[in-house]
Amino acid sequence: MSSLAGYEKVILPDIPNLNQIEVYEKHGGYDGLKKALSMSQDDVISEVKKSGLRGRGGAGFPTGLKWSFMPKGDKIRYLACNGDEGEPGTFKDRQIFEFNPHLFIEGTLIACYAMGIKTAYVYIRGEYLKWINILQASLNEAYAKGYAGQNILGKGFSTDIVIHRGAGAYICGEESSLMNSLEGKRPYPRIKPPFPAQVGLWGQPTTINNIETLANAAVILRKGADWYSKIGAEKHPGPVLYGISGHVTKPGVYEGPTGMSLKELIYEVAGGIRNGKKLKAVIPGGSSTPILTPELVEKATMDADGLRAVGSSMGTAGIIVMDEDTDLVDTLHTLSKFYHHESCGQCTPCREGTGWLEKVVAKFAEGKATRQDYDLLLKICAQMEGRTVCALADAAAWPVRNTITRFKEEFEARMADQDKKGWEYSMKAVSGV
Amino acid sequence: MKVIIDQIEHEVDGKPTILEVASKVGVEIPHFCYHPGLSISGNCRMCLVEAGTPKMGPNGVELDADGKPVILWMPKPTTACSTQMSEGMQVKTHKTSKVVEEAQKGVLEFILINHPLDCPICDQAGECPLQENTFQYGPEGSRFEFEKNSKPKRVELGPNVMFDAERCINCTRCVRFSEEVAKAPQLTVINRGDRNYIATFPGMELDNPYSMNVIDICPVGALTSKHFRFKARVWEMSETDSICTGCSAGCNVKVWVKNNEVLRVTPRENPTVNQWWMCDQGRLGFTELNENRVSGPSFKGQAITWEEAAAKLSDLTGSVPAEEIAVIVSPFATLEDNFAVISHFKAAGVTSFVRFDHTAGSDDHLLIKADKSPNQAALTLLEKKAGGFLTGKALASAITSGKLRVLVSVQENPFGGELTSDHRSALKAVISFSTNLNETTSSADLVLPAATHAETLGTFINAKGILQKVRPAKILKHQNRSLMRETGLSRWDKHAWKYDKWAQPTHVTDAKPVWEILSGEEYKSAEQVFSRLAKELPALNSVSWSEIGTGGIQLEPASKPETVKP
Ligand SMILES: Cc1cc2nc3c(=O)[nH]c(=O)nc-3n(C[C@H](O)[C@H](O)[C@H](O)COP(=O)(O)O)c2cc1C
Ligand code: SF4
Repeated sequence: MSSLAGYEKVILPDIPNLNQIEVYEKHGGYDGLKKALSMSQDDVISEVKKSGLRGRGGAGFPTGLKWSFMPKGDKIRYLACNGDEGEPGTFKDRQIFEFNPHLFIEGTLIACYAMGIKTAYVYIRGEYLKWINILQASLNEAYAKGYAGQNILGKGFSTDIVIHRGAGAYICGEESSLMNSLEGKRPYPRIKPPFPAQVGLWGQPTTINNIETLANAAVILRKGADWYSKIGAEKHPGPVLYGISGHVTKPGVYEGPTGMSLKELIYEVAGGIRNGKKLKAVIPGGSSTPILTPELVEKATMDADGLRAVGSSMGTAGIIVMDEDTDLVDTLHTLSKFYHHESCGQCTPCREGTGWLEKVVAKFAEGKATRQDYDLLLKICAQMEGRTVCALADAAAWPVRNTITRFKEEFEARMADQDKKGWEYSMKAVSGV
Repeated sequence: MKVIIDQIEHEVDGKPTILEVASKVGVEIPHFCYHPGLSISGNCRMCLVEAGTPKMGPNGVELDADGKPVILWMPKPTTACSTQMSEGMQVKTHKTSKVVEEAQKGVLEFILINHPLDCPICDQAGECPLQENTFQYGPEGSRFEFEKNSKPKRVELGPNVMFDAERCINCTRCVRFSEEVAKAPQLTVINRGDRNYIATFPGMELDNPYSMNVIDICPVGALTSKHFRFKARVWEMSETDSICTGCSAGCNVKVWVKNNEVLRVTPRENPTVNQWWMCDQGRLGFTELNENRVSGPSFKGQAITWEEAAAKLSDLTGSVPAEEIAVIVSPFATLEDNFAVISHFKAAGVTSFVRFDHTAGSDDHLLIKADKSPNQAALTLLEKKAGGFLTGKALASAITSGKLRVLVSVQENPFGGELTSDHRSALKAVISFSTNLNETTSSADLVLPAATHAETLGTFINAKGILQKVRPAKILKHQNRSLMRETGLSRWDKHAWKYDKWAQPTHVTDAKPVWEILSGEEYKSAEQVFSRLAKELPALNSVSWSEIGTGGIQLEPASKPETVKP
């Protein structure tokens, strides 16, 4: 288990005005890019593979491997940088834009070099106007200094970075939906295969990476894969931005190594539960990751394996902490409302299932639910999970499934009175069509 | 390559998807959003199947203890419409997989929770994939007990298409059709989640020339025809395979009839002619089959019998030397009719045969042809027999100069354009064989009612040289037996009795195919006319009537004709 003790921050170091390019350069900025440009493209990809970096956008896919999927040759290709940051409980890419934008720009340039990409799009959610402006200013500096644009650092390599402002839909963060949105189309996720590395933006090979993932790539090139892979959990290494929100004394984004104990993050880093209350539940990686009971929190470490062991996942490392006063039925209702609102409506199970889930959860919130409703929720989840084009349906079903099973008593307590008896009920159709 | 569906091995070529192979080998996989003529969207999730590929070891495919290949099954069910098959792939459909069966039930339950279930008043009922799939694969009931979403109803998307958003299941077939096939991107999905439905883009209407195809491909009753809504339940109508005569494309259609009235025309799949589509104009041209018809022969406005009409015809044509008679043949009539006309008047010594031109505009990207007449190619085949054709202009000047004094018009309307009242007064007599009342029938001495293409049997040759049949969908007063055999009758029609609407005189037209009017006892059926003309016309020498079928035959002057589709 890793700890903050002795950890040196590299993504968001405590250096004032690091968003200014001179300050950034003084602290090793763009050294990673220079190093990359002196290496072969394949060597850069190998270096990222060796580092063990896994995507920070939610799915945790090995980044070097993803880069290696891009076909060789001189076909036009694109990088899409995912700054949509829509998952509730997630607000870490924003910090990179504000406090270390050049690290992200550098990582993006390295990725472009490694994959032979001449255009990178940065897709940022529309609400982030302030951060879009900050990033644009930094980008202008990078262009002025010859780090981006034509013939970068005189090495004959050229890449443009273009910022695209989203219009406010969670689904646009899903990689293939993001590509449709960039193309000016309705952001319906695309059916896979073909995968983006074969047929992506405008039909060309495309890689999509999260903002934090790309920032990490810059660190890897600057400090080396060996150095990087020793940080944090062995199989899921590197620095990570923990976004801690909810009922803690000091909510915020904290950088630390992967594999930290969830307890350390809540009680030491974030100052413990607000007003001396007791802990009730934690969602460890953004709203779609399975919720943890206090017993599971005791055991959890923040890396893929550590969270799998407690039946959850790392997601975006957006930790939502809830104290004993939290009404989990209402919490689940809020989440279900969110997914119902955000389903793009393309796939039948997600379009209809998210709305149905919300309606049944609302019955619990209103104290009108029955035992059939409890079973029904699990059935609806089963009819949605793994049946759709993108993972939003899963993301909508998992919170329901896990909250009602891990906190069954709370849901039982909210049932209509006549239903508060044994659990022998078995599912059957309750009405005609 | 070999693939296995539900434990049965099939040999397939190329890189087909699971759904393509399944439909070819006769395994039904239910679906809504997939359409063979459109791109794959994979969003309805109805065609989920389990699929797996053989596990490859160092020595090729790994085998289990029984010597069967070890299959790596995909962790989740996959969409049959979008998954390409590969060597040795195995697929389990609902027939062999509980998971698939459950998935299908789940999808149908989901579709129906917000569906209005108004089948009793829905036009689509009876030909509705949602109804059929629910019946066959759906759950026995619903567990949804909330108020259904309400969405706009009776939305006029354009001049011909009406939309009910509550029935819409968001398959996006119509959106994809407009964009990909009609090349008129006028439709999109709006809103998110279960609030979404189809709309036209701001300031646009669904008014492209192919707009009504979205009605056919809509798998529910969300898109309906403004012209057909609430006219009939589909099972009350008879459907007859025929072709559209709106232009020289010759799109294959089904003609839908109730009470001996054509209520709608829909496209019928034919890969070489029209794929699955037809244009709105062709589809809506059917009103002239029902209305404004010439019924019963007449002389100078007085109704006469068929026998009297035959006598008048020979009187009028015998009143001048044959060189002074002009006969206008028709690219709107069947090859058989035109053959009979030319044979008949040729035998009487007539030498002036006239053919009008009906081109307007240009061919479009899909089906619509500049030549608005459906059978010019047939006239071209008959040109030699007729001894060449005069143009409309030449006809007009020959009448003015007094060279031609009796005019026989077959299924054309010369006084609606080419000729004027001056020409009329220069003519001694005008005889019109016509399906509908028009300027020519009102100025003709003798009017002979002709059967429309929806009441007759005969052949047309389209712009690509494909020989196809029109078939009788409506009955005539004196129904020729050979026609009756071909007429599609619904249960309704068969069991009708004399008080039923369709059996009333107002619902049957007193008309005959032109070949029948002219040939008297010579021919008993269109088939007989065809075998005669096939012998005479080299291009048709090797074509047999039955070979034409409902799919047509590509005529190739040099080589042997090949069957397009059985
Ligand atoms: C519904 C949905 C929403 C998503 N939203 C985001 C997002 O806002 N930001 C993000 O980086 N990834 C998001 N993702 C994950 C992306 O699809 C993709 O996996 C990720 O951007 C890849 O980057 P990485 O490999 O660097 O993690 C979302 C996925 C789904 C299914
Ligand atoms: S799973 Fe939901 S959000 Fe994702 S594509 Fe399907 S309908 Fe859209």
